[in-house]
Amino acid sequence: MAAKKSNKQSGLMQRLALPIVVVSTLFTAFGQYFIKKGLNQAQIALLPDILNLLNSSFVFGFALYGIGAVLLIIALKYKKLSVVYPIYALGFIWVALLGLFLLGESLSPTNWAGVVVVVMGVSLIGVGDKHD
Amino acid sequence: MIEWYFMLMMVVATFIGGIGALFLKKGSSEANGNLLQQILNTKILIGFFFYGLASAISLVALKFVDVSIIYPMTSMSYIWVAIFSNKFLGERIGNIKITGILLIIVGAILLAA
Repeated sequence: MAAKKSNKQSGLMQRLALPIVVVSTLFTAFGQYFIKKGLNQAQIALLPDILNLLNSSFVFGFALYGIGAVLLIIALKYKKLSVVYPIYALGFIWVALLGLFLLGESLSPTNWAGVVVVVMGVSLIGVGDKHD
Repeated sequence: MIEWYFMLMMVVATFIGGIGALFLKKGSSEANGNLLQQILNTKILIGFFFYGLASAISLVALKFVDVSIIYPMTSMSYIWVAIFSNKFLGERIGNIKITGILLIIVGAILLAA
């Protein structure tokens, strides 16, 4: 009975693992954004100023990063590294979009082409997972 | 002109990052017990350390070389991980995955332009 239940669970985890990785890339990208924001806000001049790093952005960013890391480890239990790792290329896209929506940066047509190509590449990795 | 040693720095950084990923995979496969024990086992900690080291080296390189060069070079880590997963984890890297990785590298170049 217990074996049946754990087979069902790991079958579910097999299907959830790659979506979990995608979610992890989101947490990682946002985490990096807030860590950078926190570093900029801290303006460390002297060693005692390191306490400034305990501002909310920096800590929040680290927390997001940590969640992303935990999700990565969980996904790695169920999927191959050569499938999980390239999915982090989605981070390139999240960073570009974060720049666009939160930092007022602009994306050229070439950049948008890059977004499409990265998505294509990551999709192929997902396909390759089933194939290999 | 981009100094060749910053290119070499990125090659080294991505190599180290790839080793880190290898440790993360090994650590996660072998971990058992409750969630906290699984997250904090030695191999995983080593993996994150190497990943942090790779990031630090990349950040240093970023101070000297434009992001439009650094960005695509970080995607070299996907090549390293493919090689390491094949050699050390016995994972098959078929043509579909290889094409995917090549597309990712091209995409990174376009995104950084």
